[in-house]
Amino acid sequence: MSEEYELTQEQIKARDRRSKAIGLGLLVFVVLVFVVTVFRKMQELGLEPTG
Amino acid sequence: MTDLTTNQAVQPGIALPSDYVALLKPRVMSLVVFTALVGLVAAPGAMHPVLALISIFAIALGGGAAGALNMWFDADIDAKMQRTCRRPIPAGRIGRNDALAFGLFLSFVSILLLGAAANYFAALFLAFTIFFYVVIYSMGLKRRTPQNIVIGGAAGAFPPMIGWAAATGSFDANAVLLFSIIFLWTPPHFWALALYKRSDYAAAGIPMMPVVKGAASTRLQILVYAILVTVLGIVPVFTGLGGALYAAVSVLSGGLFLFLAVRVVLSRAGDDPGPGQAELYQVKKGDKAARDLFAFSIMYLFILFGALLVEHGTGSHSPLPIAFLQGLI
Repeated sequence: MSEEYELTQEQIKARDRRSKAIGLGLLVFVVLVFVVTVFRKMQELGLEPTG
Repeated sequence: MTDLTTNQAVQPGIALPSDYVALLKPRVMSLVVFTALVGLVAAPGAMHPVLALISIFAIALGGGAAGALNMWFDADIDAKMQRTCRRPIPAGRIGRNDALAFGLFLSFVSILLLGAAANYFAALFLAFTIFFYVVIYSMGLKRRTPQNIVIGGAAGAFPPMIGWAAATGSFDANAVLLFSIIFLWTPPHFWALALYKRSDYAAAGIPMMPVVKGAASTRLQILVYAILVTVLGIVPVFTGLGGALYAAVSVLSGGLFLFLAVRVVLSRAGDDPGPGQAELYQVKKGDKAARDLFAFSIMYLFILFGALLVEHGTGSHSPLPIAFLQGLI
């Protein structure tokens, strides 16, 4: 059984901001992995100069 | 560290994203990003700019992860020092366990990302760097020996080698040279800070050089390392890594670095063991020479590595002629 307590307005605001930051972080990570995959594949196929 | 599970002083749920950013030590991260970028750009290999940018981001993330893990482990001593007591863990905004999880997660992500964007040799080296900073330096050396930042300084010196490895998949003598410059730069940089924050380190029980060996011995050792780093700072001109711009910059800024180190030796910086000021650049009477050296040492590294970045990044790099260099010797 867990104890329940009400969050203060400050805690609710902080939680919302943390949730948004986590969401943004995950989005950035997914985009980066996608971009890396695309560029590596293009290099493998000789479609992109190495630099 | 006294207690791994301490979360009692934490006010639950008030941490903001900015508190987690502070855990990454952004100021240290900026140096990591910059030196890694120089390593990557100065290396002979060529990387696609997009993959290079993502690699630098991954290295920055790894550096931040190491910072978070360091703050997790050092929370007890951070709470005792004026300079660090407002960090998110001692201030009670983030729990220790949360910082540990955050640091481990970011370490994992950064290593994976660097492996994918560059190569797994660089990724393994990033993993080793995080391990070195957290386990060898923070857990092993920091609280045990006044040589803590001499040996531990290697962790801060690895980023240009990681950048180099990301671009080439290996190291060569010039990569080691970049490492060595930062390695020798670290003691005078941190000991200058420790001279004017001596009471802070003493209160926290950290055996920094001024606390253990005294201010006079530290001032002398600062000069020795300043001479070494100034000389080594010019060596890239002879290995072909640095060109004319680098030669001029390394001689001029090295001269100023040496001048400020001599000024520290001649000063009484650190002699007064009384309480210092809370802010990073605030000093009490008599410690100004140490503060000036600390501040300039950061600029020195930026100038030195900046010259390499300009030369290699703009394609204007051309090694000085051998005959000219032989004439100098």
